[in-house]
Amino acid sequence: MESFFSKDYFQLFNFPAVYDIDRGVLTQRYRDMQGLIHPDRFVNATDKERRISMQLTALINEAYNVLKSPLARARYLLQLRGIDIDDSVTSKDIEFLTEQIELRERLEEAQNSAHAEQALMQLAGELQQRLRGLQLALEEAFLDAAADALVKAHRLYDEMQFISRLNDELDEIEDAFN
Amino acid sequence: MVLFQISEPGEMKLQRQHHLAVGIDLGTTNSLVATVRDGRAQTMVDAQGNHHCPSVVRYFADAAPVVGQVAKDAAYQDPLNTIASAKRLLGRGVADIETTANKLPYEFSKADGGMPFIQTVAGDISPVTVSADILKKLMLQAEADLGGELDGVVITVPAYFDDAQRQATKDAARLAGLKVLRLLNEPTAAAVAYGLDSGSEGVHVVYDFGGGTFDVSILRFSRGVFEVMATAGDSALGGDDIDRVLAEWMMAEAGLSGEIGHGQLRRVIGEANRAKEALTNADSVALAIDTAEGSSWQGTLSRVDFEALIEPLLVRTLRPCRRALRDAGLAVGDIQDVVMVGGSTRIPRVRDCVAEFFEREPMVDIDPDKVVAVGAAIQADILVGNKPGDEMLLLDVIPLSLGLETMGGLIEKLVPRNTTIPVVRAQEFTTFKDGQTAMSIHVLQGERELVADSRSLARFELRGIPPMNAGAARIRVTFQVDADGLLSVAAKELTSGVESSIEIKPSYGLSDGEVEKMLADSMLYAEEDVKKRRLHEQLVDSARLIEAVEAALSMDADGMLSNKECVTIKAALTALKDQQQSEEIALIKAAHDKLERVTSDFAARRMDIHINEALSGKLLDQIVD
Repeated sequence: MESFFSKDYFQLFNFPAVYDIDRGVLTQRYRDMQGLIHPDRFVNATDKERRISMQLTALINEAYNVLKSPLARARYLLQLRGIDIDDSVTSKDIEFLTEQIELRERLEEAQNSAHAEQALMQLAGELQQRLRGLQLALEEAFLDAAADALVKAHRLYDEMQFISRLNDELDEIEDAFN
Repeated sequence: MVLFQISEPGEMKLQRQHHLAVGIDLGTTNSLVATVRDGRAQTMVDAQGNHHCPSVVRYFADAAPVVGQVAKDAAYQDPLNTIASAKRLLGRGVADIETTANKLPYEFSKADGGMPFIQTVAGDISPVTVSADILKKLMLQAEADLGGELDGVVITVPAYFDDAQRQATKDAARLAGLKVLRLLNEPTAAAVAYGLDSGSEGVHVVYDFGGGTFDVSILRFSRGVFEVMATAGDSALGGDDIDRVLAEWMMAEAGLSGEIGHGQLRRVIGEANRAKEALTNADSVALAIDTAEGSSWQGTLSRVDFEALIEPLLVRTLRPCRRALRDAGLAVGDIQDVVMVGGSTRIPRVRDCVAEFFEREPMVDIDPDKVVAVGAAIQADILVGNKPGDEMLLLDVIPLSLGLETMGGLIEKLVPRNTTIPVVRAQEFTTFKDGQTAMSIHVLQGERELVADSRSLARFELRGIPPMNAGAARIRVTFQVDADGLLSVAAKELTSGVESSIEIKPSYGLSDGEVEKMLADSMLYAEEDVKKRRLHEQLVDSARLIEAVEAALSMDADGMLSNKECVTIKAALTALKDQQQSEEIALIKAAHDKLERVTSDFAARRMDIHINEALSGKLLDQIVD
């Protein structure tokens, strides 16, 4: 099964290794592959075949999860292009750091405001818009042939990571209201 | 006009025999068995013509247990030896049930520290044994009906069951002597029953409010693939709780304190249950319970008051609905329809409540008590191989996050909830102290950040790590969740290659040895019977392997195997066929393992080639699209 396990996630799904991929095609290919390799198709097979089916399905599931998530896809693509991502190193970009602090403050304010639910929803909307913008910027950065394009993509990824986390926290806070 | 079908000469030997398979809905209150007959899935009836088998078992000092209605009828006269709702105790620890147990009218034995055993005249009985007795009855009923031994079953579990509860269910099946094709989530089964009926594409919500558990699942059905997008629930909330709320209300009205006997508590709960069912159609119901020797309390309950009493429970079901929607990234408007499952959805207020929340009338076309068993039967029929070429596929998820304990009592999540299974995830950890040679690995399940708030699944140790400076060792822990949702964990020190792995056996579950022992001394079987069952299981397993290898050889021997390989495989195949006649489990097993071994490379090669071919075919199709 080396032919599968040695492929990268883009190759597995027969996509070129670029950031902008068609989500519909991805999902269709995912389903087609599952139809062929899922353990339910090998209930009556030999132990070996069942084991391979399990491992291969797990691989396809993982690849699909990474490719369908804008954040995980960016990270994976950076790694494929030789960028080592170390989460323990924080950004030194002052502008971005200031913005992080501001957004955190806004989350706290929204949470404590008299119309908390409404304020949180508004902030959620802004974060979503921000994420969409970052996605478009990443599409461009990954196509850019300039020498510093990957550095730029890395910075966009850091931003996206921060906004995503903030968004998750916001979800949890909204959860507590329900 | 009927045309006779004539198959190609070569096709004859590939035609498969019809395998006997059933789906079992092992419920908290009632259990059902269903099968596909002449292309239609239907629930099967017992000798008295009943579809439902109450999930109640009565134990005796010197006789075999009885299961079903007869046992249920005896619940009042023999409350301590008549076990109902055992599913609520499956895979639970003694500590877990201390809250539940106060509400369950049994005496528990805490001797083992792990799993709770119920004290009966037949000795201490585990909830796994009770479930096995129910499964065994349904199995015998199905075998009598179908006229042969079963080749496999699909057993349903609440989607929100954790690993321990799933493992306990599988242990029960093993005790009953059943070959489990798959554990299937109840809401997924319900969706299959509906989906295949209506063939409707789109997003479906399954609201499953059963006797002892509540689940909600969101599924997308598209081109034959059911994809579970999110699931949420409460594995300790069900119709039983409605009965209890009513019983508590009656006791308060009647001036009864909490200190009443088991028998009387049973009667009050029975009366509550009767009232609940009556209020499905009636606007009010007359109630009566004994308060003391000779005296009684009488009263009435209106539907309006009933609805007010149970409202807090209904509100509790909406929280998971909200969370599932969020996890699936959907809004109420994206939902195409809502399917109702479970007896508690017969309550009109429950239906209204769901209709209000999802802004549409829920579907109740299929009997909510039967729909899960029907879906399980359909899936069993496909998995056992009766419908080759069927395109339907289920992609299910893990309901609760899985993780490891790290420093400071925190949890590092390796597999978040709602991840599609099967899944394999690995993460590296390191040592905390200089010269540390062992590492304790604590596996947990749940959504909370703190170990203390989560369910502990297992602990094991990786030993023999070569002494190094703190932080120098690299220990990779791998979680693997299979298609049944069951977890196994492996740990490996990467610089030295020291390895350790376990199948997760929850601290309060049964160990493999215990299952074996229970199998051996269970009153379910005479010794002869155990042997016969084991032999049967081995024969079924081996027949499956023979069928698989023969099919593989006839398809791919030319071109994929050297002469020598082909001869080796055929020799092992013949040897296994010969041993199948021997009736000696050990000999058959040895020949079986040999055949597995010599076909291993062939199997890998075939899958590689076939999947590559099929995939490139699929991918070409899409380019043409």
